[in-house]
Amino acid sequence: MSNYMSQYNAANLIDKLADNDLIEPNRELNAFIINQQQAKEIPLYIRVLIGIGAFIASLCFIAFLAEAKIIRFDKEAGLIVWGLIFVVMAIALQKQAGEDSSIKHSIFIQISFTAMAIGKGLFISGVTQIFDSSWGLSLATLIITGLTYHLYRMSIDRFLSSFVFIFSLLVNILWAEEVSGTRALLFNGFFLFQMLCAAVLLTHGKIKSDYIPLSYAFVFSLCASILFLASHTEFGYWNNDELIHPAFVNIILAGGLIALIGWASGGLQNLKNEALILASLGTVLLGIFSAPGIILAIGLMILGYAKHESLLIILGGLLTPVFLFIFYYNLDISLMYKSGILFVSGLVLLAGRVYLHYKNWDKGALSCVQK
Amino acid sequence: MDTKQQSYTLEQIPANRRLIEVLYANGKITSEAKKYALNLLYPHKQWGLWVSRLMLIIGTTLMLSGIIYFFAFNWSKITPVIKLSSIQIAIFACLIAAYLYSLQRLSGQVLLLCASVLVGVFMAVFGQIYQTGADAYQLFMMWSLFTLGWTIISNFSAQWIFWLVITNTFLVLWWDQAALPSREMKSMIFTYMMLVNGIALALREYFALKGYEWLQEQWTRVLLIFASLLIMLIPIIMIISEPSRGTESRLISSLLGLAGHIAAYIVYRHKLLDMWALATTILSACIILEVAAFKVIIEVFDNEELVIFFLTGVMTLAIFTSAIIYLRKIATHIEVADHV
Repeated sequence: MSNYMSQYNAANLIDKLADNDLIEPNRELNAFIINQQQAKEIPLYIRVLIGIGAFIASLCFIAFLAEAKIIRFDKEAGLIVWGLIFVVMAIALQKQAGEDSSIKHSIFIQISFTAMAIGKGLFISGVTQIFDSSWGLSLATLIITGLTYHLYRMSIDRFLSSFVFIFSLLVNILWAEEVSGTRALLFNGFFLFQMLCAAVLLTHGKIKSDYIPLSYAFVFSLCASILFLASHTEFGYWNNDELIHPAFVNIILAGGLIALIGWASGGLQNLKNEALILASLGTVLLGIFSAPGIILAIGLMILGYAKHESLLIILGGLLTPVFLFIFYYNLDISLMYKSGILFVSGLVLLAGRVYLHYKNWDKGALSCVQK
Repeated sequence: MDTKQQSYTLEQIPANRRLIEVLYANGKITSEAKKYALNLLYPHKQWGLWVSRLMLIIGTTLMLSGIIYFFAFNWSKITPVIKLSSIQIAIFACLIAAYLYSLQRLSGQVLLLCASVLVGVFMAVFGQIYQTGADAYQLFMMWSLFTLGWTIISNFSAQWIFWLVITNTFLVLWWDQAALPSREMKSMIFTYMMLVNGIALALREYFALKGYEWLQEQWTRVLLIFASLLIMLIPIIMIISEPSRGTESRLISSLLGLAGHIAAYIVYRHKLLDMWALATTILSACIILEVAAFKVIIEVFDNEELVIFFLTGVMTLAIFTSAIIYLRKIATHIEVADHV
């Protein structure tokens, strides 16, 4: 726990900012900081525990409701109504829980999240059956996520709901019968959309913290898109597979990485700097020779370092071996070709590292980047 | 400065990324102040060094993967002599370069790890060419033995983790292909794996406390505790869910697993307080309790599915809520202790 805490407290920070004329200390600011501390987020490890508990319990209660004939999976209206009842119950329980760390809060939050999981599960089942299509699942998830996102203030629920919606769209685009003939175009467009959303949510300074779960949902969905693309080159239903070439995705990712380097250095105007011109050239080379998973992994790690978010660095670090594993078993590309892609990508990065060393830019502060 | 309100003062509130983001999102500080505050709390003086290390690690991983993919392709146009000698030359080149760079530097350590990977590639290619008919465990056993020497002197946690992965793989394969245990002794593999990984974790903690910096990286603890708990959990779950098939080896492994859980709890709660390690241990304990309670419910209410589902749901809520209440109590206690 202590590893995640800095040596500064809020009073030190305010003093430092005031000493540098960056703020004017005032009672309102102090009160604001103290108030937001009362409403602080539950630690991630506890949220994970809440999520696992709620998942198991919700499955048991859904089975109980079905066994007791309270719900029937062939009656859509009943599923939707019961789903909405549970969702309302979850919101009410969360409101009743308050915002402290008491025993009552823990009990109410756990029951509330379980009720939300049951409610969303039933609602999505009901709506999906009405439409009798896999697109119905996406629509149902969109409706329920949109309805609850601002009413139900639990980041794990916001993340999971948003991710399920984006992921269901991705799966539909890759395999649904309805998009036959335009699959590659739709996939590329959807990938671009995800990139833009993730970029705005993660790098725009004025985005509220409420949208952090949504930004992570987009990041995870980008990873899923890349992993699907690494596992096959053709997608579709039955025997109607269509080729999705990774070239466009590579261009988007390379462009995104250059923009990210510019953003991390303090602004796109800094890309004229010698070090960043070379970094951009290296990225272009990766865009030409490399595979999407590698560029995305590097991008996530740089973004994580720039934003001081270790979760993004870990995600980038984990994406690399998972991508390499899935890429190995992609039977549509020969091992020789894959070997060439990986070897050249590695060579580009190591050459970049040698150049950094030659220019002495790897000795501590890289002032040209940090300006 | 007037900092008192309810139970908190500004001095008690940690300054972290979340606080800065909240202040900025609510218009309390400018973007300039946000940038200054982030650099104050999380200094970015090391961008060049960090990027250089990232390039080294990712670049090396990709090149090694490229080499593995290449030899897996088994290109017939290359003669066996060229295949084997090129890998041997690469191993020696890595070892010499590691010596020249020195094992005190990341470059030297990464080169040594490359040599370890290439030893495995060499043996796989050797088996591919000569069709020796040897069991897979022999490859991993030799791989583990050949790389043990330089792993000991490496001072590099990734090298140790890599060696542990090879050794665990060897153990599992050896148990399956060579030891050929009787049904009664089959589950002893969990005991052996618990011992290997448990000793590794204990040594990691001991030497990290003694001041060995290269062992103090958090990820090694996370990985080892996760692997150890998983190995300890499996025999316990097996014996609870199928007590009638409880062999002597399963009983020994599950008792050792229980002892391991208790030890992990004591160490990460009272000796080396770590909330993530403690939460993982408690999650594992929750799963054990969950399975045990489910078993009891099924035994008592035999075919009454309605009651079984309902009681299991309620019991799950009770188990996980208790764990959450306990963890939050400790977390609050630590927070107050750290900032008062």
